[in-house]
Amino acid sequence: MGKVGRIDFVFNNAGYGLMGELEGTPEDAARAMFEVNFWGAAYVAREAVRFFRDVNRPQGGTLLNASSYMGLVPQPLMGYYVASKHGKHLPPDRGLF
Amino acid sequence: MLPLSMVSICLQIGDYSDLYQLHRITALEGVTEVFSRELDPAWNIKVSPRFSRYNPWDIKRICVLQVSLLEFGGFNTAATKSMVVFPAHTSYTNPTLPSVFMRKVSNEWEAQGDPDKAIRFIYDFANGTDQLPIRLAVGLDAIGMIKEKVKVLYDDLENAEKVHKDVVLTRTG
Repeated sequence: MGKVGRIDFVFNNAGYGLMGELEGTPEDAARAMFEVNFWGAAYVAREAVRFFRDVNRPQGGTLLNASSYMGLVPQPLMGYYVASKHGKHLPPDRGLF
Repeated sequence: MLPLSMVSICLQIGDYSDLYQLHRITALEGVTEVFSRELDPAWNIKVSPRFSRYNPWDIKRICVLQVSLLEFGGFNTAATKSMVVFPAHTSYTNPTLPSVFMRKVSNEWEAQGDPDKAIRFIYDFANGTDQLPIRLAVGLDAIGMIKEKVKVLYDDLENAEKVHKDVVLTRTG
């Protein structure tokens, strides 16, 4: 920002995976991952939109949020990761939920 | 007892205002989609045309601010090595379970996607169009699996339509 005066693209990519059965994943580890994969991404997204609107002149910019196909297609052992990306049906070990 | 998850229809189509309700159930994908539909058109924002039937004024706007979601397939990055792996739960031992199979092959599995090529593609794509989609699947594996999922969802809806009963609130007076 200091050098070029504006930000046109934000690639919101930080995140990591947990691998384990839903029943075998410690809750504190799953919560810590949500802090990064969901809340971290949410904070970056909010700040990016604010910046595009309130700082960039002319207004505008592109925010690219990195997800995974698992956000839509849940896989076994990746339940909490899937949930952090979409969480749409509190996730798999297919057929359990 | 059959466990059921309660999922709002908001999750499938997004919703204008109830962002924090969605946080609890849809996480990042839902928030991205909601964001793309909440932003004030006065800021020269255009969301994906697929939502134009909800936001009819969108299509008249010039697109300068966009929020999109990249659905990555498997890419050979540090992510596969930094994955936090927990030992198998003691009840999950049946060798025919997909989870047991996945544990077995996960050590040898190597993602086929080249992250440098993916970033180049995304960069060029984002620069080369004034109309990004709300979702962009990156990698043929991602495209194939999501298409399969869409088909399952469609079939579920077709079946739901067949067994559907009147569930509309009956108002009297």
